[in-house]
Formats: sequence, structure tokens, C-alpha cells
Amino acid sequence: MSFYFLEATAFIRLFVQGQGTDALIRLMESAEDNRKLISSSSPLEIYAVIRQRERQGDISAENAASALSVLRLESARMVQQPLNPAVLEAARQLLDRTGLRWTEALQLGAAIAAREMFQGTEIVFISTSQRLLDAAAAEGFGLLDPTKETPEIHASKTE
Amino acid sequence: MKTSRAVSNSVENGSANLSIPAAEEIIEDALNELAYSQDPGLARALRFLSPPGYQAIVELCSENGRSKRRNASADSWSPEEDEVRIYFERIDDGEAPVRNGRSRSYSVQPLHVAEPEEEVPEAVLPADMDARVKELCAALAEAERGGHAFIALKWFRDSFLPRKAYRWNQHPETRQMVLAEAIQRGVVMTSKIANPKTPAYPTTTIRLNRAEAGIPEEAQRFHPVAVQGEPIADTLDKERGEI
Repeated sequence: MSFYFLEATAFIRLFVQGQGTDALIRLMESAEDNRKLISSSSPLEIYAVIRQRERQGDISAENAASALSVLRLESARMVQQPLNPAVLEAARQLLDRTGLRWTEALQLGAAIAAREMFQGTEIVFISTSQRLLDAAAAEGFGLLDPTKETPEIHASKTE
Repeated sequence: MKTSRAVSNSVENGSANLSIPAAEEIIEDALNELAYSQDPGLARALRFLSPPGYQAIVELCSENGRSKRRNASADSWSPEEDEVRIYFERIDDGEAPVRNGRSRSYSVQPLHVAEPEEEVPEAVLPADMDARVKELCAALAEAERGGHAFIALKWFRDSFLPRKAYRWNQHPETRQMVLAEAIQRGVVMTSKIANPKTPAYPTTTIRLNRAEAGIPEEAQRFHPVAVQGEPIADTLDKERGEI
């Protein structure tokens, strides 16, 4: 049984249409909520982006309210990895050995800390950022990029 | 007369082999679940039979007012000659009252009896009750998706709901308040199923009234909105700063 860690670049596509949205929704509907993991910072990060695009007039006020409402509900239903010292340390180490930005390192650090908590369970790292996917592969995660035409779970490079 | 009537009652009501404490617990559960009744005719009485925020404590007593022996059979209690004492203990900070010891160390609240002309105060609902009910409905939808044959009210309220990351769900009192409000609004429906352990006291189950709750069927759970201009993920990427 796999768990899914939704990095924010993928997670946001559940609320705002984008490439890979349909595939991601199909995957989410087939998985139980207690197998979906996110960083506790992701809802706020996505909230900020939706509000910004609303202010720019790219998302209507009504649609923004709808998206934020679903974001709130869905975030509460998923397992949130808090930004605890273990996450911060994992992120710091990622910054030492990768070219990730600190916000990206926090996302992958959260996935690493979650994996420690769910030992023995495969965690699939879902992202649309090639840089994060590469870094996650190097950390031994299974990968999924929902923007691929035929999304499938890729085995980690270390396996 | 007393014995034969009591035995007759026990057979009819499924109380055979019940001890006094077990019978008291069944009555307490029934009183506490009365809070979820949808019968409008009971509404005024429920303020006294199942006041919000309080746990009913029941004692089966003999006619002289003394508690029945703890190791006695429930059959020894007679509705003609014996009594039932009901009092209430405040539910504080998520701790349910310890029942078996029946210690009086709790702040025991006397059963309040309203005078006929006395105004019954309206319960004050929190300003964010709509949001709370919505969150409760989402949690119930998730529970229903878990493949259970049914959702027992007590399990959902006391075991499943506290696991969610809501702001209001860590206190038994508020969980009960929100659930009762959801039932009152018709977004959560109750029903009964037989309980093999206590046939006379069926289990209360709940299910989501999706039409009333505005919760779409699972196939329509996500409603991603349209965005004009650059893809939304590009904005997120820019927000993360320069490489």
C-alpha cells in the first residue's frame, strides 16, 4: 500500500485547473485520505497564490472563494506533516547537497520526515517540479508527475 | 408480585443477566443519545434529560433511596417499588467522567427543574457554526468512504472526529453541540440498528444527507477553478524565489 506526498506544485492543481489536474483528481479519488500526505505549509502557500491571482484578476472572486473553501476542507482531511525540527534538519541537509531553494527543501524535507514516521511504507512523491522530482528520486522516493500524458508511478532511482 | 413483574420486565426488555452497573450504563447511554433526537416534541424536555455539556449519571435505587448493590442483577430492580436517580456531571476538558467508581468528587450538578412559567434560555450557537457543520459533514463523508457497514454515532463523535485537525473538535461538549446542530439542520440523519449485545437498546447510526449538506458525491469532490494567463503553478514557482 502506497502513501502519496503531494508537493504544493501538484497539490494546487486540485483546486485550480492546470495540466495534470484530471489525472491527479482520479488518483486522489482512488486513495483513502489517510494515505495522502502534505506539508503543513502547503495550504498557506497555495492560499497565498490563489489570492494573488485573484487580485490580478485572473481568478474571479467567486471562483477564488470556491477554491479556497475546497482547499480548507481537503487539507483538513489529509495527513499534514508539521514543520518540526526533523523537517527543518532534513531541509538543511538537502540544501547542502542539492540546488533546491529553501521552500522546495522544506517540501522534500517534510516528505522525508513523513517517511520516517511511516517506516516500511512506500511514499510516492507527487510534484510537477522537475528539480524536486530529481531530488526526490535521489532520496529514494517513488515519483509521480501528474502532468505527464499517462501518469504512472515511477520506481525510485535507488531501487 | 415484585419478583414476577421484575422478571417479566427483564425478559421483555432484554435485561436478563445484566448487572446493576451495566443497566445503569445502558440508561446513561440512552439519555445521552437523547440529545440527538429529531423529535421536536422532545425539544424542551431534552434540556433537562440531556443538557448539553453534561454527562448523565444514573443510579438504580431501592424504594428507600439507597443504591442497589453493585453485584446485584438488574432483575432485582422493580419499576413499581424502586427508584431511578439521575444526576449530571459537567464534561470538562475532554475528560469523560469515570463511571464505575461513581465518586462524588466531581462537581455534581443538581437536576434543574423549571417552573412552568420559567423561560427556557435559548442555547447560544457559535458564530462559525456553519463552518463547523460543514467540517463535520466533510469528516462524516470521509468516514463513510472508509468501507464501514455503518457509522455508529458514538464512534464517530468520540473516536473518529477527535482525530481531525479542526479548531473545535477536541472538547466533547463542542463535538456534541456541532453534531446535534447538524442533525437538527437535517444534514446528518440518524437511524437505529439492532445491537446483539443489548437487543432492547439499538445502536444509533448516522449518515450524511448529501443533498442537504451540499456535499457533492465523491465523483465531484474536487472542483478546480479556471485561471486566466500563466499556469497557477508558475505563480507558485515565482513565489518561491529566484534560483
